[in-house]
Amino acid sequence: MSLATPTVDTHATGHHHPEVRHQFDDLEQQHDSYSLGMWAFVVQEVMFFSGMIVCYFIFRYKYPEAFIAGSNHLNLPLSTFNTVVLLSSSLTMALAVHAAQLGHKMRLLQFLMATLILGSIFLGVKVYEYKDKYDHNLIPGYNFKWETESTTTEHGEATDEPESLNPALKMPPLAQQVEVFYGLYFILTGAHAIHMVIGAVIILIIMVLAWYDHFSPNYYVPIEMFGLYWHFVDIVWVFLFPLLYLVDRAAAGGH
Amino acid sequence: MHHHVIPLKVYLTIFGSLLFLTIATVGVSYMPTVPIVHLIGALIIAAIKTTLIVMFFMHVRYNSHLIWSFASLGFFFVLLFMVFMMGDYISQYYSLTPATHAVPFDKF
Amino acid sequence: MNTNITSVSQTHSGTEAAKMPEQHYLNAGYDLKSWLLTTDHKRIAVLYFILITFFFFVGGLFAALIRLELVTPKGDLLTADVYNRVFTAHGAVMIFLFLIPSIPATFGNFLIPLMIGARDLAFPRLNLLSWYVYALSSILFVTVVLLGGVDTGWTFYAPLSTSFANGYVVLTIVAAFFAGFSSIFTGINFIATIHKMRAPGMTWFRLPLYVWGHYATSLIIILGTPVVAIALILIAVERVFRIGIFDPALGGDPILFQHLFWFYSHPAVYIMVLPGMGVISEVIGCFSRKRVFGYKFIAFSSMAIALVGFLVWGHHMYVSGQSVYAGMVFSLITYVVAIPSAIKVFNWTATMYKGTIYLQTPMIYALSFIGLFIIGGITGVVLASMAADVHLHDTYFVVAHFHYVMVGSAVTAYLAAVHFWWPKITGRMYSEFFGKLAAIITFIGFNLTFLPQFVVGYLGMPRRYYDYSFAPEWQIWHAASTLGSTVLAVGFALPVFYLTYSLIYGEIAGQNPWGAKGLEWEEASSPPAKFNFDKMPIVNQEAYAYDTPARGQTHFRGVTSRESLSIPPTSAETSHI
Repeated sequence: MSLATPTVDTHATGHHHPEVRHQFDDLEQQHDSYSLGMWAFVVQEVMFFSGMIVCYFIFRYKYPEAFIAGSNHLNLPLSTFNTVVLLSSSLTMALAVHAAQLGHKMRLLQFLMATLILGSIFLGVKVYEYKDKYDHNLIPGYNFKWETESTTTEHGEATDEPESLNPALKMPPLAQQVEVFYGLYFILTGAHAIHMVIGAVIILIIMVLAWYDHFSPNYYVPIEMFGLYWHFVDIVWVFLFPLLYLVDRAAAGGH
Repeated sequence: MHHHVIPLKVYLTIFGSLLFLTIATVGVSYMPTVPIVHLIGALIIAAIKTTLIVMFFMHVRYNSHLIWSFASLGFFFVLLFMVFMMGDYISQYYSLTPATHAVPFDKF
Repeated sequence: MNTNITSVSQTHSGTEAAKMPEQHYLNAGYDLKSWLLTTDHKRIAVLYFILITFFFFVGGLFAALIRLELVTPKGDLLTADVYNRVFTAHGAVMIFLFLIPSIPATFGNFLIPLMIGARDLAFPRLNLLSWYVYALSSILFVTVVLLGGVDTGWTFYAPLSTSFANGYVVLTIVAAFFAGFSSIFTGINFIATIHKMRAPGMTWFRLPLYVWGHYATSLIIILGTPVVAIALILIAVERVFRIGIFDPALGGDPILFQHLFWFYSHPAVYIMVLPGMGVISEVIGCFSRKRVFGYKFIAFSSMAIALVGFLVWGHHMYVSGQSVYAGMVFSLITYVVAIPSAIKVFNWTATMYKGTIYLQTPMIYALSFIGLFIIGGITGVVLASMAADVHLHDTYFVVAHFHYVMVGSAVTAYLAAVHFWWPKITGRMYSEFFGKLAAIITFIGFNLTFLPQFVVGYLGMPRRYYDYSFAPEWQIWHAASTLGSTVLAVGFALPVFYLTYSLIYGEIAGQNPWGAKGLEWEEASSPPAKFNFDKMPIVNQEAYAYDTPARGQTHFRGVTSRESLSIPPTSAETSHI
């Protein structure tokens, strides 16, 4: 019994759509492969951020007071604005893919431009926030100073050396615990911002390609794949926003 | 091509829901309750927002089972990772020889 | 049944000299550009093969230094600091530059499209990029070694690596990070390829088990590697910016690093060994001339290992301050992960049972694999027990255990793959005599090196010590181990010579010198054409559809031409098959 009966001619690639790469048989196989590959990449990105978020949960569990104190020093109105900006950029990205599906070149370019602008606003606000932290001496490992009195928590003002909940062990001073919180804040938002910057560069490339009619309703895979990346970056922020900015606002008395 | 073109109305509805949930998550954090409720509330809302983005903006709802499974694969493993890590840290306090700054469970 | 295929194999096994195909991937272009800018998965595999082989011997050189130092109880050859740097370099080079990319990046790249009937991988340019990223990583590693190395051990444990180590920790981390990205690219490529590029009729349960092994491996790569990437970045961040994550003096948590690190680095063991298990399934099936027993069990055991293997990382941390309750759970799951591994071993032995066994070179490696993997696996179960681990943790018992898995299994499987697919890759046969000789020397040398380490480890010899003058009576075990490593080095060096020789003077292999089943043997020439197949194959049969050979019949060129014992097959004897 023969394992294989050769029938399809490999070299008969003449019928190939010009946008189909040599390793694929047709557009559908190509599209499905890219889509699956991109999702595998997104899985990889999810795990990448999960490593940092696990660190966050461990330290939040270990240093609850410090997390409340540190979190309440972050700028909530600005970050809420930023959240809205980023969600809007996700919408414009989805609409850009929509325009690409329908083959509307100008609308595609407009929505990509809008996504780029919204992403840049987000990054601009982020830079302002970082600058603000620098001015307030909140850069861990560089100029970090934390006045225990300045916290509004009920636990904070008593002493700089919080009593361990486990009496057998000594806890690090509250200021150092808050420094850990800020370290995580910079690592998490920094990793997110780097992904945004990479995304912005790719938008620019896609815009140039779109301008030169690289895409068609048959072939818009790169835009769709980039959309997945951009939405993923949005999802990361959906988690970072409450985890970093909204730790027990009620417990801290609010602002 | 066989791709599903999602009507604009769907995108806008999802965007509206995302904005609403953003306001909701800020609201939850000001609720006078115990910390664990804040955390769980924030995570549930973030999970709903993520589901909306993945399903509609990322087109998973209109995609094959294969894409469904890959879309959930990462989140499933993050969950496993979290459960095992937190399991260790929470039970460190109850271990016979606590070696780190272990804290009891109810302080989470 | 099918006289057609049988007669084809006979022409190959008969006296008629096989011919090289006129056009194949190796003669598709000779200039440097045609290699360095190629997107052909077969050429990229060869590029990987060259670099990986080089780094295998670089890592081996460091191992030789370690073994030489330990011949005498006193630390006389190397200083303590140099010894630290040498074992770190040995571990880092072997793991990041050899073991993790070894089978996937070379044989996975070469064979997956051939086995599933595709023209190339799904993303050929990504594939080339992954080689360049790997090359960049290897250059960085070499730079680190030339600058003086790093002394943290390949595990980068914090706070040693963040606050105390003197070497080039950050540069090493960047190198490891790039190596990780190279394997992530390969993993993504394999997943998309295996899902979407299979030839018509190539259903999941017709895939060779080798492909299943790579699929499970690719899942582990994309799920695990990013976590170690971030763990290493955090080490660099803490070391450079003094942001407290892991160092308790900065408010960090050292156990956290071990969690993040082992979440990847334990499954990484399965990245090393699962493709190897796939190789063994192919080799055992071919040289037993039998369908692999329990195909679905082997296929699903790969997937089970991939899943369960992610939930056992805590067994590296029993004595680190991890909670004992977590330790119990990790211990239990570690016992569980032994089950799918055992299923594979039982199925391989069941495949050989009543099979027509030919002891060609790849088969000897495969048999070594099974034996050594059993020892490596069972000692793993011993170490999985928390009570035993308190005594054995960080001793040479652990060293011997993981070398049985990584060298005894992964490297042996790699060598089995080299010898099994060499005719396919180069189109030429190597010397069967030297092949068998090297396989046997490797087996003997390996056991002589690492069996004594079990004993000396159980007696209490800690790993990473360069001086054991507190217990000079252990010298006999260390001396035996060093002697064995010399034999092992001969076993590893031999193939370099006879395989290189075969490139020019080797007999022309012909399309299917082993009479093996599978698209890569039956439908592609040796070496394969640029786009693998002249005609796109359509598959209508399960994998490993071997027919029991008639008495005295053999498909091997080597056997028929050199051993007069076997009766040349006649059409009368084979026509009924």
